[in-house]
Formats: sequence, structure tokens, C-alpha cells
Amino acid sequence: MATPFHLHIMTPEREFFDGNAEGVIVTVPDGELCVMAGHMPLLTPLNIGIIRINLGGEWKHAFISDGFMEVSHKETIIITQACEWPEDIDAARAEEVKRRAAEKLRQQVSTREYVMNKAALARAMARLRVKGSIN
Amino acid sequence: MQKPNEIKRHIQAIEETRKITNAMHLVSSVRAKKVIRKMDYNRRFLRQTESCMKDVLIAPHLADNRYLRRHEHKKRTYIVISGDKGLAGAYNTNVLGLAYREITEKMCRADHGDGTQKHTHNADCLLCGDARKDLTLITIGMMGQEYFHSRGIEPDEHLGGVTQDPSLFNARTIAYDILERFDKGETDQVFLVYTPFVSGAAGEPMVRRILPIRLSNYILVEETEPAHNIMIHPSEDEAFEQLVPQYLVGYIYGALMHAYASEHVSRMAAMQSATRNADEMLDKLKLQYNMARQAAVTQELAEIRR
Repeated sequence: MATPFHLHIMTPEREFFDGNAEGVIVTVPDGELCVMAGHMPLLTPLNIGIIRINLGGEWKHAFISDGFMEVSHKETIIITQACEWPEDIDAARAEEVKRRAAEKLRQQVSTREYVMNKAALARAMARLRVKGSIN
Repeated sequence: MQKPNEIKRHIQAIEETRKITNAMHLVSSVRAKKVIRKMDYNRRFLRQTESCMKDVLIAPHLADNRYLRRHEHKKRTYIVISGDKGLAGAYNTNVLGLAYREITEKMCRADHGDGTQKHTHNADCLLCGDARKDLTLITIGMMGQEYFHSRGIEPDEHLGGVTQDPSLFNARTIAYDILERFDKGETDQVFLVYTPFVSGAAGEPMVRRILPIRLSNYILVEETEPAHNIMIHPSEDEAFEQLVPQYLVGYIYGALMHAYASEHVSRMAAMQSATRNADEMLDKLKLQYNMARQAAVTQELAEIRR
């Protein structure tokens, strides 16, 4: 069994996770990254996607929005806009957002709207992926 | 002396008012409690974000990032958070007065170039010349919109309904809106004017610069790791670009909650004293009513005897 370390995941609204984990896998801009106990201090932005947390040997999946992660000797902190366990995800809503965002992406819109729609689409798809992985 | 009937009508009117002020007191206390519960956590979240920010800020390789860049600071954006309605004591007056003073002072000095010309505190000064172009005023709350409108400074944008609903969604909308303005160069500095909630009561309203970011804002913040220890991946700039929006959303969310709690605590106090005044008045009037009634009875008796 791997050595546990303290993992702290915060969103502006609530504390998503605060406890010991044995590993965590996140998506960073250039690929996936696994953090285990004793990892060197690191600060990195995170992509929208799936976060995997190793709790007592079992890998738990959750949805994670954009944010960043700071690994220090003391603990690992993840700060993100949103983080949800599969059971908390509203699949119907995500499906609806996905449909709307995809439709808007086909239309000609400003750069800002394009970026926002793309992010919304990425979030919706990540949510659905997390939801789908357990059902 | 008033007739008993007149006094009775007066008593009824005050009883009605008392019911309303008492109800408003109760509603405000429930609303304040609801949001205060969330604020504690938000404070911890912000502290954590700030400490991560500092780790990046003191890193040696953070180049000339756009969020740090010093401009001439001519174009200012003010976001003023006030209530949607009055009846909250001095809450609205305090925060709006501060915002107005701050805007006229800063914007007029910028307008008068060398600063030798003394400006007068009037609304016309802001409207003259190019000053108005450099000011972007965003009001949150109806009271703010009306206040600035009546002083001849038309808000550039009014966000309705946000005061009543300090949600993360609203905070996000505001944060992305100002980030876009900042990126486009429509503004060089962004300030937030709001009333912090300090130890159970509305504190002094404050002006806080939220963009650009300055290391001097984080002097008191403790860094998580000594700077030379940490690796920032893929680059300081990219990490910082991601941190700034996160921090802004968190900060604005916090400010909205602070303002909300302050407003309702102020209203609670105002309504409590209004209810108390009504009670005092009712006591006096009831005494008067009884005296008038007794006087009428006595007089009638006296008339019969005659």
C-alpha cells in the first residue's frame, strides 16, 4: 500500500475533499500527471476533465473544472471552479449544455463566446464521461 | 385633546407598520444567517488561493505578465456593490458616498493633468473633457444606479438582481466580464467598492483594487513553499494566467456575500429600532386613548347628572 498524503480540494463554494489519499491523477496542459506522497513541490494549471483519486487502493473518479494544483511538502492543494462526484452530476443538464454549446460553436460568434462555448462543451463532456464511467 | 376614535385609528396604523418592520427584521436575520455560514469557508478558500498566488508572484521568472503590467492607470473601472432597496440604515449611503468621493477625487485629478488645478466635488467635473471616457462604472444594486444617475454619472452597466443573489454564477459572470475588458485594454485598473462584513456587523465600506495584481497586496500572506523550492509547470506565466481568474472569481464571490450580509445585518438593526420605536409610540398612544375615553365617560356622566 502506498504512503498516504494530505489532499485538499477546494472550490469557491465548498470543500470538495479534505483528507488522506494515496495518489491523484489530474490532467495538466501537456498530458496527465500523477502525484503521490513525496512528490516535489509543484504548481501547475489544470485542464477541465476527470480527476482520479486513490483512496485506500480504490481509484475514485470525479469531474473537475479548470483550476490549478499546488504540491508542497505539507500537502497537495487543488483549487478549482467546480468538482463533482459522479452521483452529484446532473446528466440531463450536462447533455443539454453539450447540445447547446455544440450548436453555438457551429455559428459564427466572437472569439470570447467561442472560447466560452468551447469551455462549456468541454465541461459538459467531462461530466458525461465521469457519469458514464460508473453506469 | 384628540377624540378617542382618532387615537384609535392612529394606533391601528402604527400596529400595521410595526408588523411590517418586524417581519422585515425576521426576514433579514434569516437571510444574513444563511450567507454568513458560507463566508467562513470562502475566507479559507481565498487565503489558500492568495498563498498560491504569492508562490508564483515571488518566483523569479514571472515575466511581464499582462495582469501585472503597470499602465498609466488612466482608465479605471469601478464596481460598486449596494442594495436594491433602502430601509437599511446608513448601509447604502456609506458605501455609495465612499464610491462617489473616490471616483470624483481620482478621476478629476487624472483629468486635470499636472494636478495644480484644484477640482471641486461636483458631478460636472467628471462629465467634462475626456474623464468620462476613462471611467467605467458598473453598479450592482438599484440604489447605486439611482444614486449615480441623480449625480449625473450614468453607470455604464447595471447588473440587476445580483445583490439579491450572491451566487457563484453571478461572481463568475462579473469576473469574466472585467477580465475581458482588461484584456481588450478598455480598462487599466479595476476597483471593487463594497461593505465588508466584520465580526457580526457591517464594517467600514472599502475600495479594493482587484486588477492589476500587485505583490504588495500579498505581503501579509504566507507562502506555501519557499520560492526556490517550487517548480512551476509549464511556465510561470501560464500558471499565473490560470490563477488570476480563479482568484478573481473567489474574491468577487466573497465580496458579494460580504455586501449581502452587511446589507441584511444593517436592515436588521434598522428594523429592530423601528419596531422598538413603534412599541414606544403604541404605549404612549394607548395611554392617551384610555385617558381620552375616560374623559369622555366622565363628561357624559357629568352631563347626565345635570
